[in-house]
Amino acid sequence: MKNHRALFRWLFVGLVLLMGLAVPGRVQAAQPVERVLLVYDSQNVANNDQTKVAAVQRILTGLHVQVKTEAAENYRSGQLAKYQGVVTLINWPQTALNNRAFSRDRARFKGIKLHIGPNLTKQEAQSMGVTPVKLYHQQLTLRNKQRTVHQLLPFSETMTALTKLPTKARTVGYLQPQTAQKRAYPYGTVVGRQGYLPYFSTGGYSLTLAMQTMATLFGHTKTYDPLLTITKVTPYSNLVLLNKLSLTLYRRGIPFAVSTTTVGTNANFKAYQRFAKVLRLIENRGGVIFLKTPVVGGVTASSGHTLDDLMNNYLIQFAQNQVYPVGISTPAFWNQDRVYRNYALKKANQILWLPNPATLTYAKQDNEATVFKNSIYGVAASSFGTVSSGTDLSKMGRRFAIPTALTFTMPNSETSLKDFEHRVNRMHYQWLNPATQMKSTNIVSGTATIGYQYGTYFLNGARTQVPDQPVQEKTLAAVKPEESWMNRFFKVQGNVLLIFFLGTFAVFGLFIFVGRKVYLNMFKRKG
Amino acid sequence: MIIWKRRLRRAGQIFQKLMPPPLLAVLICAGLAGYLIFVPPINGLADNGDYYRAMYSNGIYKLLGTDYNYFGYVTQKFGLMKYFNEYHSVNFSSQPLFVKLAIGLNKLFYSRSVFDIRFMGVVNYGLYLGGIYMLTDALTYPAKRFRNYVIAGLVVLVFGDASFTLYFNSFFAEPQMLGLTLYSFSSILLLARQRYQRRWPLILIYLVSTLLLIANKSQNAPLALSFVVVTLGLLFLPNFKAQRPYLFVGMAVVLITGGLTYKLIGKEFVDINSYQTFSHGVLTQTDDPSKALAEGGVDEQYALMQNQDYYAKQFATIQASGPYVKKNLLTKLGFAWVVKYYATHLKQFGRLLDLAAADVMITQVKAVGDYTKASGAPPGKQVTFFTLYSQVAGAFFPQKFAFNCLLAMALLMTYAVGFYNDLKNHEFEGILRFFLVAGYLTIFIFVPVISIIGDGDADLAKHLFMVPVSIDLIFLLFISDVLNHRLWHAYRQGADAS
Repeated sequence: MKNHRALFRWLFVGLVLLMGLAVPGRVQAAQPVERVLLVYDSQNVANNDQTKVAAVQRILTGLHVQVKTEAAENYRSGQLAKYQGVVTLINWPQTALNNRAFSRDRARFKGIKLHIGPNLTKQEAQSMGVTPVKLYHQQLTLRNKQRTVHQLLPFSETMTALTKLPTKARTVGYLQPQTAQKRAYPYGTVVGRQGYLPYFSTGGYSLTLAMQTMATLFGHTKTYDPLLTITKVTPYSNLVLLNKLSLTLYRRGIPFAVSTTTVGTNANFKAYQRFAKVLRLIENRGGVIFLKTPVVGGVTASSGHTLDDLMNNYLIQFAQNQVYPVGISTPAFWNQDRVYRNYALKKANQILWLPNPATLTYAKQDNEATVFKNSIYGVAASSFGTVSSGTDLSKMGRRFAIPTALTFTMPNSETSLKDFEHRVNRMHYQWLNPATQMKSTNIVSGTATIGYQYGTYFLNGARTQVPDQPVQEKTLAAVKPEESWMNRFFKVQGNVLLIFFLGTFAVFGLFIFVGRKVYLNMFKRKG
Repeated sequence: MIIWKRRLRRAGQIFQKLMPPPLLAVLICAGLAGYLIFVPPINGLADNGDYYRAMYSNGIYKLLGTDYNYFGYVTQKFGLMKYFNEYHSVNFSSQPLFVKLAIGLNKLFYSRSVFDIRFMGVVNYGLYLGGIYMLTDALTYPAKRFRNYVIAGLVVLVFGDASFTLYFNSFFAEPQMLGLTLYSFSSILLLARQRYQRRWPLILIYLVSTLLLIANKSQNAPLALSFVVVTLGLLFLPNFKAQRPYLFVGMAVVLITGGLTYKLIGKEFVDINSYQTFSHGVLTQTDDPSKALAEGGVDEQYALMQNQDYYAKQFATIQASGPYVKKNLLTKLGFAWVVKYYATHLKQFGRLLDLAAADVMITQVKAVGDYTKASGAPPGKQVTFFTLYSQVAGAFFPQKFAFNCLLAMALLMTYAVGFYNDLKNHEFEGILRFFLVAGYLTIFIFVPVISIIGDGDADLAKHLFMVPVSIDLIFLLFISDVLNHRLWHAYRQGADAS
């Protein structure tokens, strides 16, 4: 008896261990999450600088930092107490940041502090232990220590650079004035728990260095290979081209990802089967699929359940056709919206953050971004490939400070496919291989759980293969609304009337035909 | 006993003199519609997202700080722009005339900054009541019989129905369409029945109301052809030779107006329509449209757009209004493509027509609410007050397009008899009436066809608005003709004795 019990106990332990191995991590990362307040002075839409706010949000999310975004004017005294860090983003230097409560709270704040952009205050510089110096009317170049990489920054009226750094300071990149070749100022500076970036842009070398600075500040030391990602794929894309593209990448041994939208109905259509087949081929050619969130129309705060159903349908229909997404890709602003986050994004533990579209339609904006186990920063590959203002970074094949996806828009013609191939050829990145480098991922949708771990897909915990051809699966019969007796009656009534009329017409016609002589005779004069 | 009978008859005569059937119909309709649209809490139709077309170009905007409600509730108060209005009309339309009139009244009697939707109601109400008077007069003239009160009652039952009058408190074009159709129809009938000595006022009313009607909404453009059929009847007016050239000019103007209304549809609307024709028409009522599309030279993947809207209601796989769809799909579609597609897929087209036929008599707009939020009604609540006719007709009218065709044929044949008889007897009532009925029957038959080709099953019930109006008018005409014994020939004094 005792032996039996022991045996059972061991069996049970074994089973739990097995399940733990088989089912990829369902729970989000358990590491402590830092909460950071991102305070900006203005969106400065006229300069298209709202993209900077979104970019900083995305980088922070990529660093596993929970970020709450607030306009400076809305900051209320004492608010900072709930956070472990504060990021000040200056977008419109012409106007002063006049929220005294914020300046005061920030000065007293003991957590992580980061200042991005101009107008570094005296107090901020003092607490970093540095001496600020204003550079007026300068053409600055951003470069690395070895002077192997450089990028010309736009002409600046004023920029505050730092001098006399304390010994413990760490610097990321240098600002080189054109006029004084010997003198260089640090670009990203981290002194203890405080950081400073005099300039920020959403692409190019300055972005990589900014990412690096922020990673250093938040204690991240790893670097990552970028993920080659094809974006703007839809079921309506040119599937022949998409297939060719995946084949080309496969033959060259380049692993890649595809971010695609899908439909939640009509899986029986040939068009859908064709779409799913191309996606399955991608999965078998070393590609992974990201499910792109839908475009937004007239949504309201109560659109959550519609979105939930829709996302579930997308995923289940994918799974039924052996297409297993490894994560959700979405414009960054979805993380700033309670409805989008709770009813769509939280289904997955890996999110690929894409740049925002021109117009943002929120269902219930709350600016309370959350973190996910894996966050990938999506940025157009082209933003590192320009040589006009400096080194072609894509040729350097640099690694990134946070998980990054370099995106290419889906080609729409043979020529643009060729162009895409040329561009990829010229890049010297070591592309991220999902099969070996991607952490295990998980998407939970209604009845299905889709997992991915080191090249293997899991459906509801069970290992599964992706066949080239669709497997005839038992699909659930569609639920037909019960036909009410009323509707049946009206249908029958319609048919009865139709037949009655047809009959009458026939008889009528017959009478006319038969009786036409009789009728005509009536008018004939009787001789 | 005889005295009583005589007294009763005398009382009847006095009543008839004081309250002829047209006046009675107008008074009852005025009461019914007035109760719905003016007495708070008011009823009307909520915005389905189309109001902006009539609002902004006329200087009306959604009041700031209020929770503007689409679909769910009727909005009563709007703002009136005070300064320069940068919005231009998106379409060529006669609707702004009516909206401007309402704004004028609003400014005169109520406010210069706040617009009450009831002033739109007043304009529509006035137009409609005049139409009701003319219609009842035309249907009952000149018989002085009590059965004409039955006809007046039927007019009230049909056109006093709340499904029509609810439109008054809205920025839709339909209430003006209703009113103008009543004028257009009645003026021809009054001419046929020689109600007035002089003809030109009626002909003028007919032409003006018809032109305004055709230009009222872009979907009315094809009606120009139907009204040309109606106008043909006028050529048969006796002693009219000298005026015939004018009549041809009138017909030309009707056609040009129709053409303009069609041609001047904004580019955006052309895109919306061709997209919805595709997603709500071509792709529906079939098992799998993929193959058929590929055969038609369009990428079969677009089959997955089935039932998608141009502007996504909530979420969509792709932005249909975006450049990708415009470049890759909309440029390939067009009127000719759609016609060719349906010509090669007749079975599917038949199913779509049956779908349209099923919607023909459902006149109440179910998609939007009829109450204001202040009334405390749940969102989207429908009025049931005085909707007997629309409910019954909506339920019992056969849902087969073939039936409609047969019905049209039967009616046409019936009125052809009157046409033939009157032609032989050198009378013109039956001739005018025949062309009138023929013209309205073309509306009855072809508007569903055009709606399906032009916009698929999107907004079908609203696009079909003219269909129930025209068949209702013919239905009333038929009953009144039967009751007054004038179906087979022109009205003859004392014919009821026979």
